Amino acid sequence: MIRFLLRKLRLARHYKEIPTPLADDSLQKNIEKNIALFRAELGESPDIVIRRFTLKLKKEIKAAIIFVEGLMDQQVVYDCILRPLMLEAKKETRPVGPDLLGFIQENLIPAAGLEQENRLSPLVAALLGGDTVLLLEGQAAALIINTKNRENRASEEPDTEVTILGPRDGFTEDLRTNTALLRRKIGDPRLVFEQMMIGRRTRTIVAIAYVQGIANEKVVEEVRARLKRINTDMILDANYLREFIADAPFSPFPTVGFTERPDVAAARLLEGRVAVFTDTTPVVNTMPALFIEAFQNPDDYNTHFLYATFIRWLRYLAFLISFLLPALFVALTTYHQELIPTPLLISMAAAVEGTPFPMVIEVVAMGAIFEIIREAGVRLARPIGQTISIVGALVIGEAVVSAGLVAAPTVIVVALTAITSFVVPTQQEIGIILRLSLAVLAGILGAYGIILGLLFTLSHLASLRSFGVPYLSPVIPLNIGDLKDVAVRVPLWAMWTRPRVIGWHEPRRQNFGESAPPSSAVEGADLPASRKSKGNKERENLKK
Amino acid sequence: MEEGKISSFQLTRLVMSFMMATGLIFPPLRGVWQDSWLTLLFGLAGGIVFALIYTTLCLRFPGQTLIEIYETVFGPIIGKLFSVAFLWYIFYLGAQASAIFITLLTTTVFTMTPRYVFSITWIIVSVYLCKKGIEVIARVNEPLLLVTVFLIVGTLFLVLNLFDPENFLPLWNISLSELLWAGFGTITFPFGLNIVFGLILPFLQQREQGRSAVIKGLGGAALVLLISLLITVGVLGEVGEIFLFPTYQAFRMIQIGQVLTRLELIPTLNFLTMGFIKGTIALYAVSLGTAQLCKLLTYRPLVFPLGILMLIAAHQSHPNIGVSLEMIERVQPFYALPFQLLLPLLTLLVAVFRRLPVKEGQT
Amino acid sequence: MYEESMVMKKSWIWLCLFLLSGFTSGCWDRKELETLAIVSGIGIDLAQDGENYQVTFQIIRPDAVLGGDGSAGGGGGGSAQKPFWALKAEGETIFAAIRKATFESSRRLFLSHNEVVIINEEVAQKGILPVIDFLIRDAEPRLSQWLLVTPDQAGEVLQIENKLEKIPAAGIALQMQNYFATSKVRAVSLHEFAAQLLEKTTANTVPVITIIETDGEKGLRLERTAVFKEDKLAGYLDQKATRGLLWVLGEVRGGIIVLDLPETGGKVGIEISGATAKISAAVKERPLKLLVEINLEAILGEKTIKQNLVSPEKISFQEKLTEEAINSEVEAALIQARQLGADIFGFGAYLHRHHPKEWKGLQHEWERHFRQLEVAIKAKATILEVGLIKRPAVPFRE
Repeated sequence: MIRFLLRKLRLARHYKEIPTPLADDSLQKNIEKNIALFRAELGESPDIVIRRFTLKLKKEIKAAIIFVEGLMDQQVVYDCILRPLMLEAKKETRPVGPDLLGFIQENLIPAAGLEQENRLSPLVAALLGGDTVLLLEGQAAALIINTKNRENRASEEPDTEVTILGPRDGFTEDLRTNTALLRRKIGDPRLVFEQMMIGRRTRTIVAIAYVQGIANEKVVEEVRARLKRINTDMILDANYLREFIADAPFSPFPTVGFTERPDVAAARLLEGRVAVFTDTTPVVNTMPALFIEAFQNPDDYNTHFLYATFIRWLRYLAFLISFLLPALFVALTTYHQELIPTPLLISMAAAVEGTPFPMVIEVVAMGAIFEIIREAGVRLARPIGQTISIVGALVIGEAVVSAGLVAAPTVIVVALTAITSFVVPTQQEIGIILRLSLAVLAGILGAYGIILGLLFTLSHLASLRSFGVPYLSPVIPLNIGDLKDVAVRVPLWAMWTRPRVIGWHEPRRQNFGESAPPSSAVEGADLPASRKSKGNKERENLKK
Repeated sequence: MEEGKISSFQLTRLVMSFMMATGLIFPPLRGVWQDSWLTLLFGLAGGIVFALIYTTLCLRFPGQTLIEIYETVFGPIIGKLFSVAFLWYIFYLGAQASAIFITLLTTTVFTMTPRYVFSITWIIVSVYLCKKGIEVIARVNEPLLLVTVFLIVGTLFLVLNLFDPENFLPLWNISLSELLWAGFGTITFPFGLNIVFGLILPFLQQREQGRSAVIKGLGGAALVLLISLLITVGVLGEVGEIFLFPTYQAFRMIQIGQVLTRLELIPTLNFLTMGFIKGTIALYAVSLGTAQLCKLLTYRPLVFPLGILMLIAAHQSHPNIGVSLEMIERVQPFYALPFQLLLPLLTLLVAVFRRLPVKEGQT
Repeated sequence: MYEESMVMKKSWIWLCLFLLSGFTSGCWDRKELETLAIVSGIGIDLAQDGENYQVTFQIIRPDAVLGGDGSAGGGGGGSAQKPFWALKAEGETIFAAIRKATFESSRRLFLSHNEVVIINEEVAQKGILPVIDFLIRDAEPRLSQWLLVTPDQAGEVLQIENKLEKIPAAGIALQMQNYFATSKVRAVSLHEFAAQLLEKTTANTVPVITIIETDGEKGLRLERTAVFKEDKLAGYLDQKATRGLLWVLGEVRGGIIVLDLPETGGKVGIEISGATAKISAAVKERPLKLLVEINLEAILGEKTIKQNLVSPEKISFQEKLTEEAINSEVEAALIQARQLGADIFGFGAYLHRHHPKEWKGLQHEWERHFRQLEVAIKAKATILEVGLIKRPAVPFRE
């Protein structure tokens, strides 16, 4: 049966493309026919506005502009199209050549973006992108005038990735704003955007961003190829893309990274990664993704490195607790009581006395209840959401224990697990799966079950790759040099190479030791030679 | 056949795990309690000699596994015969590893649970990992080995309050014949087992480093085993001889305050992961060798059936721990010698005699 | 692509198999906390018929331990439950008795947290190897549990409430660990006992616990030391000899030596702060000659006379008296050990380790050699501190 399902899935992925009709969609000379063409393509929707007017240039010419209400900027349409053509064209004294459109393009319309086009489908695409189309009687072509409405929600700090220190801007729903935000972070002219359109019906604009010379060309090529292979009719969010291009489509571990913060995106690009922007969503995909990314918070780089290292270790610990603690608790209380210190065992035994369910069921059920409360809190409006968590956490937790349904230690364990799982938000989804399945395994086979589960997970993780990069690197396979940003967070002046698995193309961020703070420069006034030679040596090694 | 490549350092660590795994729970004591370090060194030296022989073979026939080499050297029929026998030996090793480790579990922690529960689940995960190829096996091995080494070295500090240097006295309380017999046993088990890597050497990135990688791995394993012997003998003294799993017993003794005590489950599970790696490497080697023997394109379809067979063999050939012990201590030295020493040596001699492999332009 | 989904398909099958095998296999080793009777102490007596064993288990009642402070102050027991329950069971062997206990207990006995094993004198005289074999072989009991011998019924010992601890067996364990306050008790764990059993010549020593009665209330006291030859109880050492034994073993870590000052009749308490012992042997001579060197560091703890004792001469005089006291304690131990013919000091093991060649000739008749052994004691005491006062709190007069 599974085979059958999988075959279906595979078929669905490779379904033949639905061919678009419109064999010949060139414009004609008659403006009415052209308008009719547009009407036929776009239908009678009220938001498609066709504004007819007369252009007076020596002689009177019938003209029309077509735009989509709301997508275009009213002011631009008035200032750049209607006013010059209707009011100022009369005063025009220069001779009009045979190329009427060219004349208008060059002399009359003061808009930033202008383009001539004679086929319908690109015109419609531009129209739906917010541009305005100018049609003229007797011309078998039209002008596309860039009147896109850039009004958008202001860039604000994303709720999902909050920092204490550091920039407060976040990506928005608009692609251009997002690329601009990134440009502002990276001044390097070699930051490249490549645009393409994905989704037959949504026609979502997707932009690949990378820094030439740092990013691995092969990875960029692979991203391009994978994006081109997507043949679906809708891309509504970055996750749609992610699911289409991920290396291991069935794995619960995210092999494509994502962020809503320009500073994070910029940092990743400068490490040699590739970013994929999707229009209409503030989430930006980055690849290749490493497991360790989930633990690298932007705040790590905005605070003192010792503190950042400490916090990072706390994060590792919290992650471990979040998926291991319930399983360990079940294993210890139902299989390996000898490991519990005697006084603790006595108090736990007293707490458990009289509860009706086996420990596994208690833990799994309480874990599930917690997830439900969390989900309810997230979905509801904020003020009600808080009420829910108070009711859930306090009332249910307290009542369940005093009614003798669940032992108090179980509630403590589940609560602790819940809190720790919020420390590493990007791995939360896996946390839930791992936590519950390990708890069940622990209930079946005790510590052996946990070890088996962990071995299985480890085998799976070790076999994952993200765009050719081992998912667990630099820990497995071990790269001691790269632990500088994993096991510890070394001072930024000492972080002189990019992660080798990703940015080995151009590994050097700065010369080794040259940018160290002045104090060491003074103390080692006679040192630079040796230091430099060491740096050179390392560089030569890297070149090899 | 196998697309993955491993680095020489990864190979070193694989060798370490493979050598250490069983040695950790059955330390190579062999009745010479205080002088077991001596037999360990003896075994190490022997193991290195064995390794030199087959790595020479592998270097002589670059890119070929032992199975392919046997066929090249002895011709298709005799070569295949040797290969089948050799594969049977490795198969047996894998079965033995899983049997021993599951016995460890069922005698210490899970006394009431039938063995098949453990062996089935064990084989499932092992097969899953095996199918991922040598590259992933090597990667999974990395953290597991690291944890083991840390644990052993860390325990050295935890047992300081129990440690009694007097337990190592009298030194040299051993006759030459005892030493030779125990050393011989230690050579064949565990150090001679590295012959398995004759099937893995061709998948090395830097092929010429294969020999040094294997020897380093043997040295590393000997070092870790030495530390574990130090702990076991130093903590238990001669009373250790009555225990089935002396290392486990030594870990049971740890007691620091009221909290750091009764920790033996942790090393048990950790040793289990080492055994898991050992079993998986053996399963991988058998599957790969069988695929090469039958000239298949991939070894992957063989893993699952061979895994099941290994499971059955583990139950059949090791009905109880007494049989396993008897095997390791008395039978294995003679049983293993042909595969570990004689066969590679013979192959090398024949290859030299027949001037194999024929190099281009030489004929 | 095809490859990949093949692999995925297989992994799904494995996952299903994995879970199935787990669920179908059930949970043999699962023991929920509320199904466990946590044993804190085991007492072993001979049953009425003199053949079987009667085993007493002291089982903890968790909720009474935690919540039962209502009656603890009153001392009368009252309506509240005792925090423990002494369960008795008879059986041909210890294991059989444990299983028979389930006839009376609603819960499975859980031995991992057991802290003391108390063995009745009669059982000890018959030999305790049958008793401790199970405790060593089984994976549940710990090797670190304390071993004790009692001349009373072990079952009765386990029923006596401790005045401070809720769990009496834990109280006994703490009493054992406090041995260094006097160094007149030698605490022995199961592991040490087993390890010494294996050394053919060394005789085991185990502390003795007895029931005492003060003011109508029963209590427990550690006194004397039982000496085992092989696994059979052979006799006792008194407390003085016990410390003599500990001096030789180098296990004295604390305690008081009370000196009688010869001229003034006053007493001085010397507090031991640390001691080491070193054995050396002259193996060529017959009878064998052993030298035990004991090094002691001590503190002047108290004195009952008015004279100032903090002067170099006086201190060295006290050191000399201390050395004599040590000598006499070790002498007492030696005499009692010779009488029993039991090598409690491990001299045989010492010779085995340091003089293996000579030992080969000695080991067969070791008991005879041990009785004839000449042991020279060389004690060296150093008083390092005198406390916080320089001289006694009386007007100075000399």
